[in-house]
Amino acid sequence: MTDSRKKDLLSDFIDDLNKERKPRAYHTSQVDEETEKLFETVRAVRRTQSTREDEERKENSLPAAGGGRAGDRSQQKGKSSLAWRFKKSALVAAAALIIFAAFLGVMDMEFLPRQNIVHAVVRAYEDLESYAGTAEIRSKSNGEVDYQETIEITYQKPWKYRAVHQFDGREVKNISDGERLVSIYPHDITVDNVFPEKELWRYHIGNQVWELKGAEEVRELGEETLLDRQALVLEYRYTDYYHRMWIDKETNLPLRKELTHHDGTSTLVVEFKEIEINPQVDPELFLHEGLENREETMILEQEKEWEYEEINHRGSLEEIKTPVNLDKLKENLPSHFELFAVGILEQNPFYDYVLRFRGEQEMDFLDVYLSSSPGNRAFFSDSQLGKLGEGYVEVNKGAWNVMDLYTGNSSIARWVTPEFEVFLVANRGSNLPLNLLEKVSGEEMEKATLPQLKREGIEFPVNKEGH
Amino acid sequence: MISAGVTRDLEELIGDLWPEIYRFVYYKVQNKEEAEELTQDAFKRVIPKLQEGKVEEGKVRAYTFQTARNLLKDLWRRRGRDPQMVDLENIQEGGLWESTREERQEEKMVLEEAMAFLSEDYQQVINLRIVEGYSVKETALKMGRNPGAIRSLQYRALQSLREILEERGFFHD
Repeated sequence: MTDSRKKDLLSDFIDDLNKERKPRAYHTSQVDEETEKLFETVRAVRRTQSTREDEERKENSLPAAGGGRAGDRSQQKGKSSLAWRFKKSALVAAAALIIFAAFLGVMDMEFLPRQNIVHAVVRAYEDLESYAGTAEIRSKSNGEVDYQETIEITYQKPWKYRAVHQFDGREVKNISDGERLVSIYPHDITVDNVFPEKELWRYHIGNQVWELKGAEEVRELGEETLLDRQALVLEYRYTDYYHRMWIDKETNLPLRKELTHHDGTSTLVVEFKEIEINPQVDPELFLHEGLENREETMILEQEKEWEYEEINHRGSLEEIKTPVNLDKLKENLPSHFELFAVGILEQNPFYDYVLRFRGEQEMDFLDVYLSSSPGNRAFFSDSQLGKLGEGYVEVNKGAWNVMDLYTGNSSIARWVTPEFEVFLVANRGSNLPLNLLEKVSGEEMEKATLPQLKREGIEFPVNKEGH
Repeated sequence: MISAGVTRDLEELIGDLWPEIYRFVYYKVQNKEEAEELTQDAFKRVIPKLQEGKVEEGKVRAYTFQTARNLLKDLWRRRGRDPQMVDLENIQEGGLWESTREERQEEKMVLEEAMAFLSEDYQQVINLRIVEGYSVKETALKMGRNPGAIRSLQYRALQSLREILEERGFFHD
């Protein structure tokens, strides 16, 4: 993160607290440890003030309005004064008291900083540049293996990978240079120019770390030896399912992940049989330009029945024809989000374009799909509906397997008007999709039920099975 | 909001507890939006337990405080901070708010001591922006600088303060 970005982030954070709103910094990306400490410093400064106000309130025997600080900080301008300079003797006495209390063990031990395994895993992944190894995906049903796949993978941040999959006696290669993905199947080659990461989700270490980071509960179960490595076994709850993860104690990175179905009859295991962290990587491994000299393309030329298909072409912002105010959308994006790709979705049945933005962290993203022919779509389970502008909005911070492309949970907001449809997808839990739609429309969403919206004459999609 | 299946006694209990829990959460997160959400979430977890009679009568208050605290820990963990799970079985009545009063006073003293080490400029920008709540633009006018300089100044000021606090083992849950 650049210094300039940190300054902006900190300034926005102060403004957000002053306005008593949820800090924007957390909406879309993970805040690094150093910045989090700066944020905590800001909170602590505010707390000293609230402690003082609490004392004053107590003296005056006044109940707290809403149980907390009365009104916005901005309403208190001019009432507070600089109150930082204590008399030296008082400070020395106070400091001595604290040190004495700590020495006697009187103070809460939580006062001391501690290392946490989830944090350590996240940090280890942040430090990782590349990995190479063999992953195995294994599915067991009633004690018998019913599916097995091995993947020889070399991965380099961000999104460069060469993976050779073996399953059911077949071989499939996925090669991404970070910009586009070439998938080589037994009888055809497919090139996806917009979603290079889409074949990684089932086994990628980054996805596993991201999942652990987003877990609602984490429990340490103990230690085990796995592949001659000492591993810490964790159990965590993520999207209502309990998973187990084996963390290599040497690298702090996942070695194995296990998901057992609620009824205990089936298990899915993703395990690295071999893994090397930060190996030297030949950059040519990820290049598509070399493909014409490689064996697979030669075979392609010899056997005419092989098919070559390109899906999702790259385009430019100028090519996009939409009534949606894209300038406003870009203006309101957090400044660390950058446009990664403009996709022209010629074969997508619902949307014409996608704008792909990436945040600072590898897994931070925002995809904006646009359509000039809004259609009937079914809602995700547990979505919130509302009215926005001339249309309606569907909001869901944990939509499941969106378009079969975003595996697991994602945060979505879909705005449908008679003229256009905009569909935003971002990291699970993010407020960014709805916030951006509100900024673009210049209005706030009015929460409403389906019948309420129908009464207002808004046309609605019908629910379809399987969505 | 809470409504279905809530008896009059329970409603009264929640009504009494809500401001206390809110104040505790607000103290930690320092903004109303998050404090309201987390308080609501805490009660959403606690109410079913109360309805099922799974919390002893004398421990309701402590249990609710502990639930709120665990939610805060979950939040911090998601933000890369240090989560520690708390055993809800071992909660004593009296709650965490009271037990942390001393801690709050200590935090205040440590912070005020640290502030005293900062230059006047640093103290002033922190006071105007955070304590008084002025915008960058207003602070710039008051301090006779441009907004860019204020953003840099507040960044340096808070970095210095953070370093002093870190030396004193300040950062914890």
